[in-house]
Amino acid sequence: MKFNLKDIFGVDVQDNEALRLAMAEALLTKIIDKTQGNKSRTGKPFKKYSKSYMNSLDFKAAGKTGKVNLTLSGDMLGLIDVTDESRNTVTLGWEESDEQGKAHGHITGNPKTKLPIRDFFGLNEKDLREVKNKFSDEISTIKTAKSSERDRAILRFIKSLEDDTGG
Amino acid sequence: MAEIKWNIGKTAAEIAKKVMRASSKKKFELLIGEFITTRVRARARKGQPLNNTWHFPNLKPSTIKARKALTKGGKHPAFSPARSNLTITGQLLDAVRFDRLDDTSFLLFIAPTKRKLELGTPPNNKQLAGYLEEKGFTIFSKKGIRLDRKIPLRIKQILLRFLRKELRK
Repeated sequence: MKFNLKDIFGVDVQDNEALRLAMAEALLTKIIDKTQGNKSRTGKPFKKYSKSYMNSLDFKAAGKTGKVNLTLSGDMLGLIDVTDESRNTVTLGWEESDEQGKAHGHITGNPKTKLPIRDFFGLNEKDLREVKNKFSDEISTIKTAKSSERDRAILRFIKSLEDDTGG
Repeated sequence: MAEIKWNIGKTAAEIAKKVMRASSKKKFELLIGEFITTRVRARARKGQPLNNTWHFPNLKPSTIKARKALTKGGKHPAFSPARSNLTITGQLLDAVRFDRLDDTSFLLFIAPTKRKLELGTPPNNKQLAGYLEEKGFTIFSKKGIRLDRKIPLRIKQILLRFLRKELRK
């Protein structure tokens, strides 16, 4: 899912990779927090879990309750990543195909397996405003300041981790 | 005693040393610890050790019969008389702990029992872990360690997310 950061935050970040990634992380965090708070992309609660799923060993072993949060092992939400970023846009998604498939199943539903639609992947206007407001202080500071040596070191490490395909 | 010593890798250690502030470092360790201990407990309740794909051995009919008598009372929802998943008392799974050894290594282990051992009291965690290991119910198998492939991916992602948040500070 592609986000235009200039539209959302009102700031041009094409020359500030540190800010771009920090914003991507804020959006990603919002998607996860919202999902775990039983809110779909539009803000409505998810459809309840089926009785058979709630009676399954996987469900019980994970210590889940009836609250819908799309978190069993936590891998699907835990492996959402910044899959692409350039100029004023970032793309969030999955590098890991299992989790991408799982997410796709939730987003679109699957009548064959009776999996209902639980579209969690995205943010509505209100969410985007909240993310922006939380960020406002950082934007005014970072916009005027040059990237610090520490930021550059962090970016180098992020790149080295991203290049490490072995996980 | 069941335990796993675990190395998070040179890059992650270097990151922790060079760019993470002390408070962030602690928070990062807590996140990793919470992730791993939750994973160990959930997999054990499914009847699987953390680092291998095999299941705990099947129970004998006499054991299943004896376990049926235990179904009353506040058992974990995942408890079943026919399946061993360390949930009769949950004592061992509750005692799973995670600690940092140095910049690169972490330790996953069973914490010792705090109460005094007296005649007629239940076994302590060390005795329980030893007994279960003998019977093939070890939760940290030392033979052929093969971590679930998602575990390193999750740890990498926890670290990446942590670093991106650090960019805001």
